[in-house]
Amino acid sequence: MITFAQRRLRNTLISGLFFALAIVVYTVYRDSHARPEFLSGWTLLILVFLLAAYHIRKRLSMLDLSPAASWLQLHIYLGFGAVLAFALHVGPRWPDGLIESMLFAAFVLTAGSGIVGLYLSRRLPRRLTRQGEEVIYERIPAFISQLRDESEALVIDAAQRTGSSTLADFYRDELAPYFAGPRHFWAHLLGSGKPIFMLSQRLNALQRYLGADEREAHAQLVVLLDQKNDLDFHYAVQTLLKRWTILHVPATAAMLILVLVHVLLVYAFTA
Amino acid sequence: MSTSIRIPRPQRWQQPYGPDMGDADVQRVLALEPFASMDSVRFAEPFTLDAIIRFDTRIVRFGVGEIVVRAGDYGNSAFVVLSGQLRVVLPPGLPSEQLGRSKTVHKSPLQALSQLWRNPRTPERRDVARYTGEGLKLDESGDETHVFLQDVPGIIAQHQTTSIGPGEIVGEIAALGRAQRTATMLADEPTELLEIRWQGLREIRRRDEAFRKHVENLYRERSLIIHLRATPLFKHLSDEVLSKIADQTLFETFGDFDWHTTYKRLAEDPPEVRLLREPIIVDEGDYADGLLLIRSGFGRVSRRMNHGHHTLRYLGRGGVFGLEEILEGWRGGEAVPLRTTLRAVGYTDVLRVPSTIIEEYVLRDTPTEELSSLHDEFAAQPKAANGAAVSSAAKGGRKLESALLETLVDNHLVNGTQAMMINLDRCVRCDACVDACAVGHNNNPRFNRHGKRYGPVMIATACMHCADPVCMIGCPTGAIHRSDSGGQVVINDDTCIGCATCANSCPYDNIRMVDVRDESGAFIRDEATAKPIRKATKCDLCIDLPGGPACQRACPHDALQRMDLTKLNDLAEWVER
Amino acid sequence: MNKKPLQRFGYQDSPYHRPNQDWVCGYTDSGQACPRGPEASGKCSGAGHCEPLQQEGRWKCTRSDLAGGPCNDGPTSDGRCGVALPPCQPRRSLRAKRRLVSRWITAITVGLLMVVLGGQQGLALLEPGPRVSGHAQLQACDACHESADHPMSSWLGRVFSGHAGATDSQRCLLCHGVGEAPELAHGLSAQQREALAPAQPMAGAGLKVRWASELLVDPTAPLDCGQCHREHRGTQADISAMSNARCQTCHTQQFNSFADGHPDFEDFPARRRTRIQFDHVAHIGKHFADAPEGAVVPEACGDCHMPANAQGMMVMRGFDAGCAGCHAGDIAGAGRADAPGVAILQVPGFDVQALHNAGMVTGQWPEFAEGRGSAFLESLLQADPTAHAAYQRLRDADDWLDLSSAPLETLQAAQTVIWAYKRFMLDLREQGASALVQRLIGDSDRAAERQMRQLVSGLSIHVIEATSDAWFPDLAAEWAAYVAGELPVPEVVAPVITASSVEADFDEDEFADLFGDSGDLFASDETETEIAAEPVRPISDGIPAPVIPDSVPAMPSSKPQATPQPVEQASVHTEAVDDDEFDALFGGDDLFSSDVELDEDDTASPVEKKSVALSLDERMRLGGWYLDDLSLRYRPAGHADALLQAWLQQAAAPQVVTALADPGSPGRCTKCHSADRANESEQLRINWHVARPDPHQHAFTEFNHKAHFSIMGDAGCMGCHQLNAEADYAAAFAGTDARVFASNFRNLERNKCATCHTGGQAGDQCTTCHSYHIGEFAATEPLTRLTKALSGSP
Repeated sequence: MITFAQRRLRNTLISGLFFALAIVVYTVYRDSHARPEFLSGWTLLILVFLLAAYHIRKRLSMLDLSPAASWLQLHIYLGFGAVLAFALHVGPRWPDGLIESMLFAAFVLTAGSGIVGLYLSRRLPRRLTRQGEEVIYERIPAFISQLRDESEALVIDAAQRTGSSTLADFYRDELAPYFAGPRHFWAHLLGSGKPIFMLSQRLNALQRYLGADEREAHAQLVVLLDQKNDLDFHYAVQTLLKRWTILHVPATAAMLILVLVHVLLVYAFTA
Repeated sequence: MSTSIRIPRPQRWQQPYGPDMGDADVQRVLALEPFASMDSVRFAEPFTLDAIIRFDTRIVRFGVGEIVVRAGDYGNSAFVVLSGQLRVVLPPGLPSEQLGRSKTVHKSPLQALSQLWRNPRTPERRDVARYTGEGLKLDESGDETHVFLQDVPGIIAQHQTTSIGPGEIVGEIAALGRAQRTATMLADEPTELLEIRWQGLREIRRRDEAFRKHVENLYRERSLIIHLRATPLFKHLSDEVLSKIADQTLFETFGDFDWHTTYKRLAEDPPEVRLLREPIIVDEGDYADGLLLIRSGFGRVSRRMNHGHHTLRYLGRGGVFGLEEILEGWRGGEAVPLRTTLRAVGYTDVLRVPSTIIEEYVLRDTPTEELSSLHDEFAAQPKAANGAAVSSAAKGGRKLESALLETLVDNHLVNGTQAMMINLDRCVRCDACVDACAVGHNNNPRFNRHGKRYGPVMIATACMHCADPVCMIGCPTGAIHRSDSGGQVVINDDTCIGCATCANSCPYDNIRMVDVRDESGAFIRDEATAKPIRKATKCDLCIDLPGGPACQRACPHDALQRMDLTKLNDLAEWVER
Repeated sequence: MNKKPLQRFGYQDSPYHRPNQDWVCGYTDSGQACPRGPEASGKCSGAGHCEPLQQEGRWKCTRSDLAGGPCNDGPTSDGRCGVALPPCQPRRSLRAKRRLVSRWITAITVGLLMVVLGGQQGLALLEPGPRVSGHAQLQACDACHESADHPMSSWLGRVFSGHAGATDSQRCLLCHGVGEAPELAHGLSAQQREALAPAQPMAGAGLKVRWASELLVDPTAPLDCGQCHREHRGTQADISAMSNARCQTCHTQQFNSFADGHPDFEDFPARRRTRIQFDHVAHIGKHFADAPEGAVVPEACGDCHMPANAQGMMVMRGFDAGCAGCHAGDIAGAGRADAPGVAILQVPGFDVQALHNAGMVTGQWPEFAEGRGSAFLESLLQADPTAHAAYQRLRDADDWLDLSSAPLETLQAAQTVIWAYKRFMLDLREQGASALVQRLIGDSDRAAERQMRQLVSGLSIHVIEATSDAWFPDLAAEWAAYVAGELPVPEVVAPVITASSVEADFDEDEFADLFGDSGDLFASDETETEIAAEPVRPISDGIPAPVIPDSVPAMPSSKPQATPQPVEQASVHTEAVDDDEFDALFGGDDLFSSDVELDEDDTASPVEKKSVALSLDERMRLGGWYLDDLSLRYRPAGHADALLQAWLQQAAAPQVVTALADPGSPGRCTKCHSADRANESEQLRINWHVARPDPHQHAFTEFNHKAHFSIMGDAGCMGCHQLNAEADYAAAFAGTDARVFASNFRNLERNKCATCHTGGQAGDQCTTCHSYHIGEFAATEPLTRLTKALSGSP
């Protein structure tokens, strides 16, 4: 089985060669043909539709087509190819026309989100693996509320048993909002542990006010806090992982429509 | 009044097999063959024949045409006919439909595609008509649910059958050997059977010479030769030599056939504790008195490591243990102690071929270079081609992290032949696999993308289609079965009665019960209890789709792989990828 | 203590997670999702957790074991589910959300397009970018785009029915003239391109260019403007930009760059000899050096040359600036030995005696007439076929002044010519100058009018009369008599040999004799007066009976009393014309006085003769027509004399041109103005002007001198234009083929240009020096109709 590193190297080399070739061919073609834009344009069009076909393929999971993984590889490298074709087609300029500008924006948005998405898809999973329990994204809020119930129960019980309000007060002021739902979204995305660090610091600082019979509850709170933090982390990172396509897919839809109009206009008005 | 001697009841008998076995019943059974002729002296306390009958057997009654066992079922009990008569349908047996099994229909690409728009939008939707209409006939009178066939004479006319009368014992091989039932049996007339669970059988076998001989002879004639021939070491031997070896081969069973029932309860314990609970077959340092061949089940090969035991590899069906030492002993002229311990994971059936036999018949006739190559092969702890030994240091230099190996063995995951492995370092949690699965199964996923994990390796809770499918034990209607097309373990939704036996049996939580719904999405409820009708569901490897499991094909990031964990080398490669 | 895992995998704890469902129960996040979940429509099914069942009058909870089995509290007494949560607000699942967004974006895009396409200024919004400033005025799309005339609905069709390109190009051409065949490469046919292709093979270019030219589908395919001119790229965009590679691709021979492989300048800039024969080497080397005191001599190239147009093409500043300094004089004929005026008419000399002896009728003929009657004689006779034929025959006779031994035909020819000549003079007298013109260029049509005027501008009737009187005193009467056949055949006498007739030698070629290079022809004033007196004498002779040539009708005999006629006329003139004008016309009053002498007796007083202070030439210094003994001459006034130009352009009479085209002839036009013709059959064309930029001419190569002035080194112009002393410049002008020439200058050195003109520095784009659109064409003129000017509409 070829390792991922080997595969990446191989595909990068192949596509690199292919791109170089494409550039040469295009420049030659540009000198020998009146309207090289038609070459780059049609190439781009075909590429774009091939890329969009990946979306279709994903829906056709029940058919014995080649694995989606192979399609994704194709999608990725053709995607870079499309960026190249786009550069050749448009040149170093922002188009002035309304339609063209919209199309340009749509493409940039699609390609940009795609590249970012690719990066995220390769980086974030590792971070997810390293921290916390692997939970199903949609169930995270439920787990959070589960933790909330536990922690509440814990604190109330402690307060009732010991009559001291240290934990209860702290819970009311600090933990209740924390356990209320996913927190520190951006901090987790940016990999900053500061907020949770400060919170647990303040929680630990309570120790001195605790009686022996509260320490147990306190210790459990610390653990729950930690678990909640893991959930927050997974929530933030998985949100990003799952939602970037909400940019990628619609932008593609817009682009496809505009492309058709663009082609229509080009053919109707090319002199 | 003399007070009988009281002894603590052995643990195993806390739950009698047949709760309503009264003294009368026991006495009646004891009076019948073959028990009447057994030498009760050999049955010492506490395992008196009386106790065995009392706790390890039960009396079951079948009406005319009711199916006792189906060919292909996994059973862990044998039957003795008390009265009436059983009809055994010899191969070729009854069509699987008649046995209440689903016939796998393969979808054409177009049909597969049509699922896109044909699939219902509500989950777990079922066609009520199929349940109410011409299905299997269930007889739920009494505590047992039986399936019965109409037109028994017709069947008898069409198929080759034999009949079994009172006093005869059937199904013991399947029970003791953990093998599939070879033939379907149904009641010719209202029949009383004594069902003996495998524990009872084992006790009897230990104590009653005749029974042991009987069983072992059956083994020998049926499967032993074949099994031996399948073993690489013996492949070059002639038939008479093989039969000689077969004569000398001993049969042993270790561990617990019902390990899965206690498995979940004990799963909470730390691994080291669980490991100690695994019965030792042969211990490190013992004299290698024989070559061990695994007949079924799994064996853990470990070596003492300071305060713990380091799992080196495990042996599946066909695995060989101890050859290395025997070879060296034979060459060196003096016995070599075993370097590793062999434990039974769950349960293990082993064949013990005495060393002397090996030396006499095998080593002498085998060319030396082949021997040395064999030795090296085993010393090098070969990969699990044809399910032989699998190791943490397999060929190809790939080293599987031993902790991962421990995890797999501790959790009995090595049982899986189609385990859904997910590499969490690649998985982007996009649930494409789940979607693909749902599309393939009427808009219903058949697994959850969660499960046990070690580091980045997650074994999702999708059916692993185990080598030893404990889920299939005790399915009253045979709804869960191995597909005759590809051996996948599948459930026939029509005949499933939602008893959840399989779901509870599965040690890996890979079978899920669901409440089924009608077109409107409302639950289909039971007339009597108004409770939703439940069905057992699980991964069927997209048996009806072209191209096999959709989840694997649908994964865009090469994160998900269905794997045969008895081929640990592949796993090593995959993990290292 | 350590974490205990949040997840349990058992089926009771972890039912199937269904991301494929569109809707999620609103209570999911609180972990209390109802077992049934939302309906497919997204509404809350509101089913609660169970449908309680009534058994033995008690309500039993029927909750599924999967949902936790029967609840603790059980159903309410009235049989409703105990765990009755208020209906939830189901949420969209992730997938549903993404689908929704996609649909919205799609809808918005389509909507936006609708607005753009459907709106009022829809088309304007479609414009892919600003037009170049030059096209700013073209607001309507259909100014350039044919499709814009059609409804949008038809565009799709047009996509498949092929390019609108051709038609759009036609709209470009409404404003931009680029020659006859803009669709052809360089507007040239394949053959023309072939012809232009450089002979010597070029260096050859890089692989890419060669591949490209391999790829070139069809070099002959019709081109449309848009292929090179990319519009809508911003107001400042260079829509004429053209890459070197694209030029080279089409060209059959390629090279790498201007510095590397571009052909050397062999026929650039000069493809022909200069129009003005000006030997730079001779002038700079000799003439300027030893110019006489006070002569204006140029000191720098710029004194004679200047950039003429935006392209900085260098032209000669013109005669006044450049040449007049030294050469103003010789055009007017100053210091010239022979007569400075061109003899337009000249009485040919005949051996009248021999004619008479042969019984030919000549009537009176100026005795001292010599020569063969100027170059124009034949032209004058052309009108009359018999006369012309006669002249043809006569031409072969080598000596007209001694016809004693000539055959009869010659003599008859002579007689015919004589009378034809007289007839011409008579016409001239009666009809005026137009007779002369008509003789030369045949029937005058309106087109020739101007030319006619030029040919005889300033030729007054009085000069004509004076001339005819001087030559043929009573021409009219004689003619009448001749026509009436009453002219007597003169008695035979021994031929009188006149000195002049002896001296006259016709060895020299026709031109030389005609324009009197030999000084002797041009007599002093004395001879002039004698001659002026001569003609009267033979008139008193007896008149013989004529031999009537067939061509001439018989005419009644006439009396000599008709003689005084011219005197009256002359005297009439004296009164009619006031003196100054008279002088101007007649170049002094000697002619008149000679007329006056006619009235007096033969002995003219010498005193009167002395009164003539200046020579005829001097008096005619400012040019014009004048009678000079037996010649009617015209003297050019100075450079660019319209009359001489007119005569030299005299297409109808090639001999005339040939005659005047002699560098020695008065005016000396062709001394400097080269005369070209491709082959002998053609008419000589004289280059009156130096090469000047022609706005309608689009050269393939253009060099901007202006741009280079600032960077010329000490060498200045010579830095590039190096004199070539070896070249035999003058020799080329012997011939008439302009293409045969030897330049005064060495070939320009490409390396000099290439020191700056590289990609890195001044640029070596093909288009830096070369134009694509070549040939003669003019931008389309405005089509405004005058009627518009008054019609109120703007």
